[in-house]
Amino acid sequence: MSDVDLGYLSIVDASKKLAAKELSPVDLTEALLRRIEAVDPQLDSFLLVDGDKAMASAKAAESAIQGGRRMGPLHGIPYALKDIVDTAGLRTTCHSEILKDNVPKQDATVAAKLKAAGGIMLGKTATHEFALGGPAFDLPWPPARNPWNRDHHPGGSSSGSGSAVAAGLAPMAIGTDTGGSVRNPASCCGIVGMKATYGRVSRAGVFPLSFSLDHIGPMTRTVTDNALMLQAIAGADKRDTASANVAVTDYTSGIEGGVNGLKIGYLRQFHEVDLPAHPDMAAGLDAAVDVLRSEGADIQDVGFAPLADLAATNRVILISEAYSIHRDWLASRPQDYAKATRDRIMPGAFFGAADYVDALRQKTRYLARFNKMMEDYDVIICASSMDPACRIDDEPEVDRTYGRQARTPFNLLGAPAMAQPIGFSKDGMPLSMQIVSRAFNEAMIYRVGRAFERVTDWTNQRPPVG
Amino acid sequence: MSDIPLPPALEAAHALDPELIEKSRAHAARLVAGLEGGYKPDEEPAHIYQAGGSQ
Repeated sequence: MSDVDLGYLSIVDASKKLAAKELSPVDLTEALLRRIEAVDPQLDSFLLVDGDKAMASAKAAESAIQGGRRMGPLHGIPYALKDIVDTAGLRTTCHSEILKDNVPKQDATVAAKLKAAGGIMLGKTATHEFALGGPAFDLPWPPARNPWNRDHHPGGSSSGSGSAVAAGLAPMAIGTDTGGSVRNPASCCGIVGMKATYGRVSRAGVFPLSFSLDHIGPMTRTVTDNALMLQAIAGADKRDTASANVAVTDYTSGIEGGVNGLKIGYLRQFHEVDLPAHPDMAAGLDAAVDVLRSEGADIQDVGFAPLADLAATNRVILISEAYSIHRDWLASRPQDYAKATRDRIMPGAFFGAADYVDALRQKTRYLARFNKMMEDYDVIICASSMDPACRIDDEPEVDRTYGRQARTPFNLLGAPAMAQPIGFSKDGMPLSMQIVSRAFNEAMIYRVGRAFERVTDWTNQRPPVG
Repeated sequence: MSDIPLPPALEAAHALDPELIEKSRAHAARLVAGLEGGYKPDEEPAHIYQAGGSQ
């Protein structure tokens, strides 16, 4: 197989070939490292590539598989980590001047779990600074670019992870999501990104943005690949105060179950009333829902609280907690932040304690409404982004469109939500939908996403990056 | 909220960008206005480490 074909090999297919010894982890890793060298200068998706360690891990995986000691579906599969995920002995910068020399002593739990599953760590990916802000040109490293059009942004904050996976530089990557930062780059880059239930994936060793809203999530090109990755990283963790002591479901055993007879709510209010979407996005969402209907799903319109109010509640909590984390550095080293990051954290100085508590009381109200709504539906379909990704250098348009999204409600609610590609705009940029369900019901989201993926071809498209 | 004075520790940030403080103050006020308000005394805040009210 060519490097390009190896680059776009799914985890499912690569894993089969590795298990059958038709493909070596060494050959796969070498091909991806060559692709990163050839393609990433256009995209800047990696901040650091650890080729030597990757090759050592690949050789160890090859030896184990050859010796009959295959550990599972991720054994020998390369991956990338957003650079706010601690890696022992390897620089973890949060894409910031402030931590540019930070070398953690211990792996984050999610990094340790991928290593334990036999994955091959290729390197660390670009992010918006400290997983906040936006694409910035006033940081020590450039922002990642969108492989579908490198003049456009790839979403964020897990920008490098989205770009690298979409460009066939890694079949899977870790992102983090506090206000939508797994699902935004997934939406912008045409890949699959899951923000699992709050507490489902350990946050230990991941630099915090907002303690009560931070989630860690898998980013892949296909739905089944995503389920396999979540399977490897989910689970209780004593290192994480928020970790849920809830049994981990088998995410793939029912994934081919289809949607016939499932009850699906279509939350069109978000993109038709609250934040009217770009016409291509609106048409794409309607077409996606039609596909699910034609597969036998019972689709009904549903309504929920206004997006602006949900987003405000999310932001009061997020910015309050982020300001608490960053205020000492903001006082002593404000010049070392990107302007976009300072702009987004600083409002935290002007919330009162009662404002923060009120936002948490508001969250209680929304949780009650959401849990009641979900008694009637298996999943909800809604928009992720309201617009396709715009030019990365158009700061006013980036500012305008970044807030036009429907992801923050599900950080607030802690509910699992997945972004999945549903087509392309007339300009060739990816379109996406979200599939949402009740807490710890990720398996149902994967089942619906897979039913859609099986009868469409969006996850097989390749961006024009070689 | 919006009448909270500038914390002395943010003077360096203020010097860097004189508009930042006022923009931030106004943004904070807009966000707080997005809360419904009218919370009854027994309406408790959600635990911050909680998903779906199920844990």
